[in-house]
Amino acid sequence: MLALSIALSIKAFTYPAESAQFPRFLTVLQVLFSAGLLVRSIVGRRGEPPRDEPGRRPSLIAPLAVFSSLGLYIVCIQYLGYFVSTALFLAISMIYLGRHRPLVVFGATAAFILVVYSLFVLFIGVRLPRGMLF
Amino acid sequence: MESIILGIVQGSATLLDPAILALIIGGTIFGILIGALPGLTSTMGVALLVPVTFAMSATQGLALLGAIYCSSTYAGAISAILINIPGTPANCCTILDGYPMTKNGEASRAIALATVASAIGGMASTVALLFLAPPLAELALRFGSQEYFLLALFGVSVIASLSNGNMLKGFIAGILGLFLSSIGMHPITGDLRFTMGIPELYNGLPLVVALIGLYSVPEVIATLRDPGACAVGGVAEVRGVFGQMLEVFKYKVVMLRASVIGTVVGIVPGAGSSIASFIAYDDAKKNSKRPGDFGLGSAEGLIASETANNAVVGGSLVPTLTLGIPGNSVSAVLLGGLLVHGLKPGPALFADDSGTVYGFIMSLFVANLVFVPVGLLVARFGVKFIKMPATILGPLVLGLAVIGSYAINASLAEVWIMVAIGFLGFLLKEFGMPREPLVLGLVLGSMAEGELSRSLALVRNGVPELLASFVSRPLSLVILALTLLSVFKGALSQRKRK
Repeated sequence: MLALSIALSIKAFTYPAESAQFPRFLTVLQVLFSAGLLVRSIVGRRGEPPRDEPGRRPSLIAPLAVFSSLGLYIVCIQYLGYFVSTALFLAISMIYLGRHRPLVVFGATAAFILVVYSLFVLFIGVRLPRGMLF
Repeated sequence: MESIILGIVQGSATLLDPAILALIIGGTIFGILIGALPGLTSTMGVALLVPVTFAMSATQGLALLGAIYCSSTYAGAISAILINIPGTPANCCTILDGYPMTKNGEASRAIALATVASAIGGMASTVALLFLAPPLAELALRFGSQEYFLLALFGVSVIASLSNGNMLKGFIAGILGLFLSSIGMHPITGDLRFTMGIPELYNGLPLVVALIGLYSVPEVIATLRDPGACAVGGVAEVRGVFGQMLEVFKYKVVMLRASVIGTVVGIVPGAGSSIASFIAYDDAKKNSKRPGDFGLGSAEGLIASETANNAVVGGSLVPTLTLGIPGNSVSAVLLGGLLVHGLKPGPALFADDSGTVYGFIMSLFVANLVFVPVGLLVARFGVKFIKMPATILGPLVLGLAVIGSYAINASLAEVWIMVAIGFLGFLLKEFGMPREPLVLGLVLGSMAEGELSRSLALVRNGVPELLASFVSRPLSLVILALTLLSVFKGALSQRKRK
């Protein structure tokens, strides 16, 4: 957070003074608060007794899977169109997460696409990206 | 007073038309679907059906649009409570206690409380609209740049209340939100800041997209990491709901205060429902006997935010009808509806077209009653939806987040922005930083910066002159005093808890 605040602060000072007063003020404030948080966390750790067991770090597999699948999904929308990409995204995600019964996967995917088509396309008139097929 | 009573009688008589009642019911169902789905806003819902009203009479058309406004503002609570994604920006405060209640197995209780609280807030502000429109309109006219800036500052003072004990992290998140609101064009000079060459950011970070990303993505990750911990506990059925609905009347004082806050904030053009619900939430927390319960599934917190955001509906119609100045984006579209039907907003509207105007206002009462059973029925299906296993619910919520972000402006770039904000939300959650102060900063930042710039321009950039103007204007002084009182009360209650 401190590093990000410093980087944003530097960027804020590259803009004309009249337009950048507010972000400059905020980023400088952010640098100060982030430094305070860092100092507090270091002082806090020094005061703690050593841990007997190493703490369990949360797994990064779920976040990596979610962000990479979302990224791939959005890229696919541009080439395959919304409906094909969505069907693939939902089906593959559910199968990967352990839901192997084809009927459940198919049913949930079909129901979602039907609701989106009825509400967003037919009723509201949102134009969804079309791909090579539809 | 006599003319008001006559107007009420006239307006009530128009409601005997079965077509109007049917339109109110239809508008309510449509509004609930719009409001409950993240990415679709009340403004969009009302705007979509304005052309449909061309073929109707003025009263019929306005009754339909009013029903959509009331029900969509309420319905955002359904997705906020059940899947932790606010259906509309007005419901971002509802998440704070609504979703924890779902995780505690009290989804039906949360929805029952939110439904009745919303109805009461909506009806209270409609009463204010009916009897107090002229003096409230006078108050709205007194708001200048200084008052708007101080209102934003008052909103920022709420950040401490949303920090759940870790004020330093809360302020960091709040400042980050204020900073994110500065992305885009400067309100006075028009210079672009931090847009990275992305055209979709020229007008600033889209709020609804940011909300979807901030809340949906981290929650799906948390659910997939530990499905057992995040599963909906207990039996979340919408049975025995009438008993749960009556429980809301234990919190009469909370609802009264939140209704007043929502109505007053609603009359200020541009202030918005989200500001009202945050202020009401903060007020409820500071006056509660159990402030420690807030953020963990407190009924008071949920009731305060839902009452306030629906109370904004009537409040926003005060300047719209009496001055022709829309209170927010939804009432701006409603104003268009009024003009299409040949009605001219202004002081004379209530005299020249009393039948239509009072018919519209009375229809708002009915709409606030109709959305109670309809909303509970929709929520019954929603509760079944959330009982699905995480391996199905997770991908469906992400799919909803994508279509919700895309649908606003039919832009894939906004979907990427949603993912980027989702990553930010994930990091904040990972490092134990509250997200609500960030949302508040995002909501208030553009108003704070814009009005500060205008205030400085008015006093020719003199900071001492600006401070003097705050003190010399009575309304500014009142808002400043309320801000200081809020900060003082917050500090006092924090000390008491320690």
